[in-house]
Amino acid sequence: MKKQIVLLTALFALAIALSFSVLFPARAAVVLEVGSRGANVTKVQQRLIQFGYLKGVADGRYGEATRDAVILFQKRNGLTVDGRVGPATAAALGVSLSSQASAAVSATASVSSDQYLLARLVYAEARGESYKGKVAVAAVVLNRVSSSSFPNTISGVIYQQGAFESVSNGAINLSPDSDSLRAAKEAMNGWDPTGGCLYFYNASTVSSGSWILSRTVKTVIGNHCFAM
Amino acid sequence: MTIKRMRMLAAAVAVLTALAVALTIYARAQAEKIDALQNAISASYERAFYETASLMNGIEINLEKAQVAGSDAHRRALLNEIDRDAMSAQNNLAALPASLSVISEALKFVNQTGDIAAVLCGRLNEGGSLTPEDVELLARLHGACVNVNDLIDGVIRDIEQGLDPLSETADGAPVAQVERVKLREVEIDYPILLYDGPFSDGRGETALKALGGPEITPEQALAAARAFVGEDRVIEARLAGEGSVPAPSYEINLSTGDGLISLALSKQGGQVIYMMVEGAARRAAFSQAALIDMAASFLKNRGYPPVAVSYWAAFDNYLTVNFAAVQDGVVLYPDLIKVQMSMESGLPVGLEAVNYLSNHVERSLPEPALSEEAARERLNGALSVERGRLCVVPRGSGEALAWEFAASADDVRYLVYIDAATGEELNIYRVVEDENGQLVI
Repeated sequence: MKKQIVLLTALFALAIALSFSVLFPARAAVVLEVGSRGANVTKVQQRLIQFGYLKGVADGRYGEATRDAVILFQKRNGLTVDGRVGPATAAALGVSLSSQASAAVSATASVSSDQYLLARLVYAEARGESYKGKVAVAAVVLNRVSSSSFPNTISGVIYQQGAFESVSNGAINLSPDSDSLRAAKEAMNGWDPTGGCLYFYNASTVSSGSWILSRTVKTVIGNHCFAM
Repeated sequence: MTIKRMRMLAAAVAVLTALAVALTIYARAQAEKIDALQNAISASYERAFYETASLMNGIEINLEKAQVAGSDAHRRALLNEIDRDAMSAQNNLAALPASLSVISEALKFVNQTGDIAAVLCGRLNEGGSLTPEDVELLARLHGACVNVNDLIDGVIRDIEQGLDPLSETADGAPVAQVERVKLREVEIDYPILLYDGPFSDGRGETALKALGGPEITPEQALAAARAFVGEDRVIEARLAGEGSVPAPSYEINLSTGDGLISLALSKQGGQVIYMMVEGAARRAAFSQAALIDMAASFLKNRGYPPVAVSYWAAFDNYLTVNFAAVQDGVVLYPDLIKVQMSMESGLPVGLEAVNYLSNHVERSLPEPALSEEAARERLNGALSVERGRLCVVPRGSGEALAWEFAASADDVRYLVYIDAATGEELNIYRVVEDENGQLVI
């Protein structure tokens, strides 16, 4: 009986704990590795430079030099040596990694804040798509900017109410990969594999009654239909 | 034993009670947080709505005043204000939780009204005047604006009577207050000749002027794509599909040492509309200057007309070079071709030719009414001129012949454009140069 009660209590507590973690998940920890970019990387690099592990300037790009510096830092400080900056390494460096990429836009000269924002949308909406599919999604945003029926800035279009699912579900806050950054740049340079389309949707997930199906599809790239 | 058991039972009950209390407190706190958030969101929606309403009122009144204004200076001021208010109104409209298709109609009305005001204002700035048709257009816009504002007022009355315009329908979608605004009814026909600004409806479709020649077969398209990229680079070629924008085209994938190159070739004439690469260049083995030369000779070898470099930018070890076609020494800026080079292999991997294909025709270039000397005298005295040359620049819906001067002041470099017919200063660009390239802003 005693065992049963103890067990019952433990189960009850576990159930509560579980439902808490399901209902209110902790934000996924940010991990920086080769290929990462942005303000977080800049902060880490500034510390590494300050502590003498890295030479040069903090450019916000996690390359091999940064990885080597991180490995050296991890070795000397008794951390798990994996060349990546997770919560433990970040804490040892005295850096707090922000999961909101928008909090501080990359400090690099070559990535403008518009490009970074566009890349975040591309990554959130099309990370499983081919490179062409990524450029196409970025091009749709830019076509909207120059259309009279949409806001006139990149941020206006991306954050327009109900425009993109990734904005409502928070996926837009993930850090973009280098393909998405390049795709955003490509579209800003004028490449447009959709030829001026204003809408895209995933034909396999769109509900059959959706108004978007009334739009004329001009081209299909991967899972996305692009429409005028 | 029974006492022991009762004690344990009591302990268990105590633990469970404590947990239940903790859970209740936690749920309360969460509910309060959710309430606060909901109020904050409602407030920001309502703010956007009220601001839209007051800006639209301002636009309505100014549209009316602009029709009867006695002086061009006053008219300019009113049109300016309409343009500015329209800009703010579109920002606020985009923040409203109405469905995208409904907001689109409202945005279009506001954007085009602002755009028309800017176009008319620009004409007055250049010393022109408003025609009776222009005034008629303002009257029509005013009429449409009155209708929109009546409907907005209706929604505001609802809010004031305590009806929640942000409540949700059964399927969870917000009841869009603007949905009740029958925006489709206020759509008006714009005389196309009067209004061909950046937001005109005519801009949606691009006709490719430079496409000529017979229709090609898929096999010919594959062969043309291989030849365009360079036969020796192609490992495998595949027809990936067909597209219809901006012109009917074949889409072709080529696997190469530089990665997967995708091209779209027009069915008519087999012209490359765009080309892009899915790959990664790991390092920069070539200098930017060498790559620019290689990009130019690539275009020459593929039969494009002579080109001049306009700007270039490196990103991720790819260099994108922007060229403009040249005719008789005159740079045709509307006819842009961009070439992307891998800085690792030194080979072309990308091309973007929509502007070129849309605009490139043989121009009949007039003799400039203004000599280079006379145009140079129009420049700001603080600028020291390095060179001047003739070019064609896009102007409104058409083109203008202009003198382009590369000049500098205090080590800052500029490109200044003077209309070769009227002597008007059309534009100033600041040249920005860093290790990634040279751009103009």
